[in-house]
Amino acid sequence: MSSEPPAPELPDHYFRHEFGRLVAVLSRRFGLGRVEQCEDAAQTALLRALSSWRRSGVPDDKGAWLYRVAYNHLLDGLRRERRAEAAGSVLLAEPEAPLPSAAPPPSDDVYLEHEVKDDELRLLFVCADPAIARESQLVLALKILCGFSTEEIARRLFQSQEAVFKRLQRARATLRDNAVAVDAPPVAELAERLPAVLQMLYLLFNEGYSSADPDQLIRRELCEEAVRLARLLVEHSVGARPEVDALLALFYLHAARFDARVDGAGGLLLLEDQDRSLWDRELIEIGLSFLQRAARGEVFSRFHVEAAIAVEHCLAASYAETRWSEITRLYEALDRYAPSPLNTLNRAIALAEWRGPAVGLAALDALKPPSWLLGYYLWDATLGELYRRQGDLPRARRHLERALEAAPTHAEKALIRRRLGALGEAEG
Amino acid sequence: MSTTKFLYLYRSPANAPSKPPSPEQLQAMFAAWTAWKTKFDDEIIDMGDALKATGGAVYKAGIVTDGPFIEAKEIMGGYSIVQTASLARAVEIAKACPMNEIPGASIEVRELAGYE
Repeated sequence: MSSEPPAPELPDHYFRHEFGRLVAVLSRRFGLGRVEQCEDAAQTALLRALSSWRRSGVPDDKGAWLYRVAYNHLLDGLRRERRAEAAGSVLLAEPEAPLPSAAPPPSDDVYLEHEVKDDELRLLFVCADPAIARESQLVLALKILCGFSTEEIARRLFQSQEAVFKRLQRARATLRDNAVAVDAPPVAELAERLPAVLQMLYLLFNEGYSSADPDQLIRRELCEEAVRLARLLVEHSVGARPEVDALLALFYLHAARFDARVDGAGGLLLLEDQDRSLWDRELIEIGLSFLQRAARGEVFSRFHVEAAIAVEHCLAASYAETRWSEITRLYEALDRYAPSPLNTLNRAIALAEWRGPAVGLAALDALKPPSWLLGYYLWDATLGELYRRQGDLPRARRHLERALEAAPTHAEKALIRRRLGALGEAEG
Repeated sequence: MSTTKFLYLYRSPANAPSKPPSPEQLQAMFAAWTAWKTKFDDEIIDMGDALKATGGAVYKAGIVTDGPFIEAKEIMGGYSIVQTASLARAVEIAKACPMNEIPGASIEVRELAGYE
């Protein structure tokens, strides 16, 4: 080890998050119709920082430094645009929106932290525009608010770059078309979009959580982003609501069990096989404190129920000691708030633990599964497991083989293969 | 110990696929450059600067081009100045430079004559 002074370090993901902050602040000043130019300016500022900071070091006011560079770049571009328009035709030169008044040199006081947070939050609500398809909302937020590139988004969402690019283009076009209507409305006016925002964050977290191998670490970043944005929301008056607390509780309680979900070789472990000592007590505590806050007031949401289910798991001393009766009841409650056959599937698993596989299978028999559920690997994986426990090995095998085919990732396939292997031994 | 100054000229391919690096990649590049600078802090006496693509070339006192300067397969994108004991050492430092992570990029290491 040498005695070199430590290099000045930026916080993790500083550039990526700063990209989002810059787009948020700039698009408030210059309008959402120009969001692409704002992204461009943010990118330019980061590039400039790379050359300048490695030479002269990181400035103390790094956020304001980036903002000044991005702001000036954007303004220069707009001025050139204006001149080109004016040169083209006097008649066509009608400006659609005035440039920011005589461009006051942006000083640090336009980069106040609480204003930046306001702007980020506004952009979060903007992304949840009901005119934008739900999947595109997610892609848009990941691009302009979280600072991921098209390629990085594609890798994290298991989509092609082309698909991500198209979604982005469509979402930006919607922003442009609606620009007049939604330009920099106060955050409070956007409050009616809160459910859509929560839905988006929930989806974002699930994208990161639902799968492990082969890209476990990079997908976990999606969960971190969901938590970061939800915290931004809950700290603002518009988001200081019980359902946001409940959503955060849910996030933390799930995140607490992250490390225990994979074995040493990166394979997925079922809840039953997880080493509970690996669960992060600190995150569980944070989750519980958010759930406590969520219990204040009149609001009760699906996120409350889901967090309550997660609490049951987190606080159970072992798989066998889990309060399956309580979990069964909670899935019934969840179905009232957010009806889905997946609730029945999960309830059947809890029922099977509580009262035996026959009762679980009966619950599934009573369900008329929609075709998408029949193609879902967990449907077959669950049926396979319950039939195995009943001793109906041929049926168990049939379902597990179908689950194997439909499983989306290597880790999930490997898990099902292990089950099939165990089945083979049982069959002798 | 006597030392010599060396000029590093950074070149990158002109026709490289121009996908701009993502913010996360930019931060990783920044960390790599900072680590390089820290590691050879005593010898890198000037991190130098980037070169813009604009400017002019002067032949016999008349400006004949305003750039780009070479039709070229490569762009001279920046420079640094390193003061160290030998060319071998200068090459060693250049080999550790993050510039090498850019596909097709090169670093030309030139000894400064040191004429008064």
